[in-house]
Amino acid sequence: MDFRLTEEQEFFQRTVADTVDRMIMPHVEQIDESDEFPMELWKEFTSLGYLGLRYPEELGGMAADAVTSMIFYEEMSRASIGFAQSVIMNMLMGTHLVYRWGSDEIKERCLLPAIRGEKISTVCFTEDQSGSDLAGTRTSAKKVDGGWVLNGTKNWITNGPLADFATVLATTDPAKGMKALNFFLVEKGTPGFSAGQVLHKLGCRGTVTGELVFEDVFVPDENLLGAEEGKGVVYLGEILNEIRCMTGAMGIGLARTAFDDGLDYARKRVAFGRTIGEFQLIRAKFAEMATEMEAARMLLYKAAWMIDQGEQPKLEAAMAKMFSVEMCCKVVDEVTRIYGANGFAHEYGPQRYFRDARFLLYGGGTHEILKNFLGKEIVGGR
Amino acid sequence: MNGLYIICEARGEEFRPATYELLAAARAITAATGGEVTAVVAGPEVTLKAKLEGLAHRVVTLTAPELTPFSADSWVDALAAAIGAGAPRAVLFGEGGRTREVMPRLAARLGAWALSNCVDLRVNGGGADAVGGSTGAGATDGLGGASAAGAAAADGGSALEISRPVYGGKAYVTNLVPADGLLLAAFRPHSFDAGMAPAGLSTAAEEVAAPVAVSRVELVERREGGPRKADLTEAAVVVTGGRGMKGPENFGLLEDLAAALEGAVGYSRALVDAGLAEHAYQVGKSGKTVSPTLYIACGVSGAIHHIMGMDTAKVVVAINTDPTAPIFEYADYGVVGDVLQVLPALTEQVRAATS
Amino acid sequence: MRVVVLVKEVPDLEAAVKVTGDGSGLEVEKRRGLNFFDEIAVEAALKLKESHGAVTAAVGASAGAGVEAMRRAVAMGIETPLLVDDPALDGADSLTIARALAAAVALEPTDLVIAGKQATDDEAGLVGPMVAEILGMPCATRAIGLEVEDGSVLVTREIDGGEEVVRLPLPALITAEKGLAEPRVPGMAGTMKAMKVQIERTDLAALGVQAHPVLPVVAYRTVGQRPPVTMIEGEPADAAAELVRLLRQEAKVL
Repeated sequence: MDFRLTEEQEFFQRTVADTVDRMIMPHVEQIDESDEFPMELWKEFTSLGYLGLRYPEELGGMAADAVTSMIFYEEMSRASIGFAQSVIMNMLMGTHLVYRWGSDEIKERCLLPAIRGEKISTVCFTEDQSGSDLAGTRTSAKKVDGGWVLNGTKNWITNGPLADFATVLATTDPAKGMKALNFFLVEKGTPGFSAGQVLHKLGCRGTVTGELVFEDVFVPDENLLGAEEGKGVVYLGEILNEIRCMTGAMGIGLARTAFDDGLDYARKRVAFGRTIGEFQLIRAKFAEMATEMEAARMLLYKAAWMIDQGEQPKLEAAMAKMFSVEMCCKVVDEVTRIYGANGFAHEYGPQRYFRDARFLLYGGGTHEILKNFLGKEIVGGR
Repeated sequence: MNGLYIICEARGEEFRPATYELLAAARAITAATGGEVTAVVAGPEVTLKAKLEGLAHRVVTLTAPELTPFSADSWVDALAAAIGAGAPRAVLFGEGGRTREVMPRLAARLGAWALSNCVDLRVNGGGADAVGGSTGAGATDGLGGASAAGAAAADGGSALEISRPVYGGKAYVTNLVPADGLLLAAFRPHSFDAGMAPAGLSTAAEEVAAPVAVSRVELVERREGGPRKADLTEAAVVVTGGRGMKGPENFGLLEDLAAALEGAVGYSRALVDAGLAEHAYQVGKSGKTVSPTLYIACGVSGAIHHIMGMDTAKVVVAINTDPTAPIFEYADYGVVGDVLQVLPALTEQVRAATS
Repeated sequence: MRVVVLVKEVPDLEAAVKVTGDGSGLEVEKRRGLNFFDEIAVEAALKLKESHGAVTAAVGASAGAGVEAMRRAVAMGIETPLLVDDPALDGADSLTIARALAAAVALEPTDLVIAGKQATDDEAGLVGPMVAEILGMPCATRAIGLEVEDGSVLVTREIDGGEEVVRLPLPALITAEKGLAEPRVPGMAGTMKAMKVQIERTDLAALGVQAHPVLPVVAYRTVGQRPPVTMIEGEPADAAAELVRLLRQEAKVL
């Protein structure tokens, strides 16, 4: 049993941390305030090649294992959650199905530029009436000669309004529920494909999130991503554990930033003639936060390690996502309290951490859904 | 192996203060341990050697023509010959660019110990301040300021103890220099008080004309220049203005002091938010975090936001009209007064002290 | 053209430093990386790789550490890392380090050696010029500009009170000041290469290096917390004079 990162992984962590500190940290407040996608930063950062982290070397990637990718997600999320979300979308959910099922031509046209940061990608599940309940998907795909015609509206699409291509979940037969769901590749410029309303969000700002509208969008047969019709959800399931772990890693990264900021404050802020870090009730907060952070990290990296062992850590990944993000929400809350009224002021970080943490509650499964899943898996029954 | 050599260095027509400080320290130490103080002058400094009368037992002048203007190659040759001939136990330099070129190469050539950034030298076991070392409380060096040889340790051949900061000043280390080795050491300015040991020695003069190599380094161009304008986050000295500066019409006072200290100017959030200064120069949590050697807060109240941007400064000076301003809780030195009056006086004093 | 960079692994500037109970030792938090000025030196070497097809190497010397710094240099683009790893280098004298580095540099004919101006931990700036002396190379410290000519380099360097341009015949050694080059951020490909690189190691015996004796440590001392403020009274002119006196004589920062 060995709980340590390898020396190589530690080097990777330091390198990424240093890159994040130098390149992204100086812009985090600006990104949050303006809520605009930082295109210049995107170009600068993606030119480093990290978007290919999980992909094979021949595609410009690093073929990194899951643990190494978690290190990356965690370090990225110490800075701007919005920017991290945009980056990670291109690394994982936005490109995975294209990588897995796209033709060579599609890979050449979409995947390789996405790995280089030249194209922005997204994946579309959520609709006005469906999110957790994928079976409720209404966006439809109708078979026509030589391809499919898509109709519907997707919402809460990360990178959506900017996306050069999207993998879109649509049903070929609403009556068949989950068994009729497929992912279709839709590229920018396809007639009938347009961006709708952009959402104005509480946190995770700087990543553009919004509606995508499909009006009689024709895509050729090869754009149905998968070997078999009706297996869309199964194919998604192949990376569901990884997505859950990734969201947990984002929570750990954000919690670390908040924790460090709170620590800095507690060591400097003077009240009643001493630094507030010397008061027991403040120290207790740090003791609890540090303990839960450590616990979250253990759970998360264990789940990622299991992925690397070729296992399917369905329970562990769900637990890790839920626990890490709940921990993060607690830490950001405590840090706003440590900051006192300053925690409420826009010029300090804690209010941003507080807002950003909430975003992590939904992706990779709401905690209500995850508890339901876990409970059912553990207890059994219907 | 008892003597101490001092490599004398001038700025213009006067020796650097460090030269006099090192000579005094050497007199204090040799008074306790025996041995002679030798002042070494070479190249451009030779014309100033009369100023060393009484301050050393001996002035050695290195006369080779290649030593003017300064070139490291020739100096290393000349000093190596002089040190080899005189066999001192230690050679003391003032910290500076020239020392950084010469001392390490000398150490490599002579197989000597070399230490940079030293702040104290005393005889092992010597009682502190027995010879009238400077009396500072040593707010920064944590060593109780410079002291010299204690009379109690007047057993010739005693080991020397030498101290210097390590890890960016987070700790100090004191090393023992055995009596039978050669030490080369560069001392920071103000490590000793130039008045710590009596002068009035009978000074012998000696010339060394050993041949030295011609420099392999060809000087193409030399540009005398004012100090480079320091970057706020890297400057060794930061002068920050706050609400007490009133308005931009007074910011010149900050610039003047910063220029005199070769430092950078910062502004508090109050001035930036009021549109009077640029955010790029804001010191504080949402601005720049600075960690200079000397931080001077001028009319800054000391909101926690500000403190978090400068608390790691080594020495903090606060000037404020309000004696209860929180900034004083984070300062080493406080002046209660109107910054608009204190600043010009301070700039004048700094100029006088550092010129 | 072969360019060798001297690299040192140092604790982060933020690493906590603690003196052990009796003052006999120091505990430094294990957060380490490539020295700030060495990173500039690495970048300057990489610029020569790009502009003059230089072959680049990095050499370091330490006891059981230094891999992190080597990896960083490789991640940035240095081709050949060589580490002198020897227990005798633990707390070694600067001259021992310099001898080890010089011997490692001299394993192959070298045209230019670039060192950082100083390490950020001890800020001593000794090893670079020592290596120049040992190798018999001319040396220019604090370089802020570098141009390769035929058989020589033109170096712009900072000196006390200004700057100068000097020409050094090759082989030569320069030390890098901030401004010589803007260190690149390693990309993923370089990072990946650095993670996998086999770092060649050697030791003092193999290099035929004799250690220079270590100066014994009497004690370590940390800097305490900021003492209570000293308030200075008086009219502005008097207060200013007293403040300057204290800054010079007590705080020793002027």
